[in-house]
Amino acid sequence: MAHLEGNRGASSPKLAYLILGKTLKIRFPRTTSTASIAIAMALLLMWEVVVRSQVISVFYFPAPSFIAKTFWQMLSDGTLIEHVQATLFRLFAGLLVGSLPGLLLGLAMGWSRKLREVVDPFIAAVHPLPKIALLPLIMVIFGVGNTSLVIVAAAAAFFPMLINTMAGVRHINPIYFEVARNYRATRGKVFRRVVVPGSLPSILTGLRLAVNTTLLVTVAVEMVSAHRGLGAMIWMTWNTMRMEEIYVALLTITLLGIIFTLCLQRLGTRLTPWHVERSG
Amino acid sequence: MSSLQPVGVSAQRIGKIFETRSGDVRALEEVSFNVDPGEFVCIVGPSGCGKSTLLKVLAGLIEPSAGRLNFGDNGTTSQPHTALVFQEHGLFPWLTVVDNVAFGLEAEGIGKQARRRNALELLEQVGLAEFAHNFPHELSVGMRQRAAIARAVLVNPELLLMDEPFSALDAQSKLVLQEELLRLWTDLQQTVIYVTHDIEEAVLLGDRVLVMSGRPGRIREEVRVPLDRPRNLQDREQAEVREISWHIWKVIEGQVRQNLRISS
Repeated sequence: MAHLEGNRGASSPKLAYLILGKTLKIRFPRTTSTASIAIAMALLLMWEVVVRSQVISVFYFPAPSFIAKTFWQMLSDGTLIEHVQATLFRLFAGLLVGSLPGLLLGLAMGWSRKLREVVDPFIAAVHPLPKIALLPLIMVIFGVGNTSLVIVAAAAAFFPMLINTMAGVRHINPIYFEVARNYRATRGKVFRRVVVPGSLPSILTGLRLAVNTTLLVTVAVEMVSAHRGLGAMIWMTWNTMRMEEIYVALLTITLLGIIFTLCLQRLGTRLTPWHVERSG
Repeated sequence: MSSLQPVGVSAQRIGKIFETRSGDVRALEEVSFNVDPGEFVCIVGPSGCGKSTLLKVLAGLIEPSAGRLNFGDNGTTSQPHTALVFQEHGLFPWLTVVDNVAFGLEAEGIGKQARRRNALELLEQVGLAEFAHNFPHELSVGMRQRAAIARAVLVNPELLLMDEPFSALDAQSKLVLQEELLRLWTDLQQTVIYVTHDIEEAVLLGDRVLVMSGRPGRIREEVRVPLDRPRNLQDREQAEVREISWHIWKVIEGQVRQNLRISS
């Protein structure tokens, strides 16, 4: 019996993965994903069974089937789309405003030892601050609204980008700089042909971390100061007591996370075709 | 391509001290030698004898702490047009083979079309054209080193510097590439300074061999190789080559043993 369920559980998400993989043109590692999907399916099934047999409260832990139904309802009546749009706007605006300066300063600091020595203490001091803590101050300055939320999101995007880019430049094999100098490349050429491509794998890692952190911070600030957005949607359940909507929001955030990861992987293979990841 | 004459090199009492946390390291001390225009000179010595440092000084990548370097007939101290071939990892992993080979021309400010055409032409001559649009990691070590040599040759340098270019190769590939290098040098007649730890290689390739020892790096002896040109791989078997090789080995043996803490 358990054997049969396991098999059934594994096949349908495999199909979903296949479709998702086909549309995004990505191959999933087969053996590992099959095992983890089977485990996920088994856990969901357990959850469903336990809730239906009324061992735990339906109020706190709505059944997966009920969450799926609510997800579908909110998707079809447009409310979910509206929240997602609001979150995505803040996320992308924050990423743009935060990671671009992070990238540029990271390149400069990685390349110039002097600049690094001067700026590094400030980075080290500001980096560990929880960016969310800035929200009240920012809101006093810029008022209630998207501007303040985007600024906090940008602060979250800035540091992972900066730190990874800087590390990327510093880890470039010095031979490449020597080759460029040997052929008398100008500083501009060294920048374009050595500094940027040499640090690109690290920059992409920085972007991946920046996306994750910024999504986290965006949802958090939305809880405090927004009417729309996934964070706002989660916070509203405090008043409406519709706990299933929390799960819908979490599910949506998870899906967004998966989509971003896949897109960034794709971007990585396209931008750094020479970069061979060590496998195993 | 500009056609440049090979230059001679005159090094006078070159010294280099690296400052490290555990004190100063004398990498080179009182290193003096001359290289004639168009001559093939090999520098041989045990690891850590400062031969790579010397090459980087000659390439203008490291400032010497002492001494003078003169180039050419009129003894100018300005750096000539040099190309340095590295031991390994000299090609940019992020550029295709053709763009790597064209890099020297790119640095000279030659347009994309023209430099690619030149690079492709050379790659065709050396039989690497089918890999022109591959990335270096898709090539064997030997092919990568040939591409790196092609890149150096393409800028037609006055002085060609090579830092153990074949040391990462298997023994058989190494033989074939040594022969190819001999042919190439016969065609180009460039001044070559070639660093290696392989004594036989140094004797086979060089007109002269500078034997170095380390701590501090000094030139212990200069050995002339009176072998006819053009040379080929069979010359390795000549009694003369064996004698000279053995003689050089005797000069550096003590230090090699000391490096390994093996008493003689």
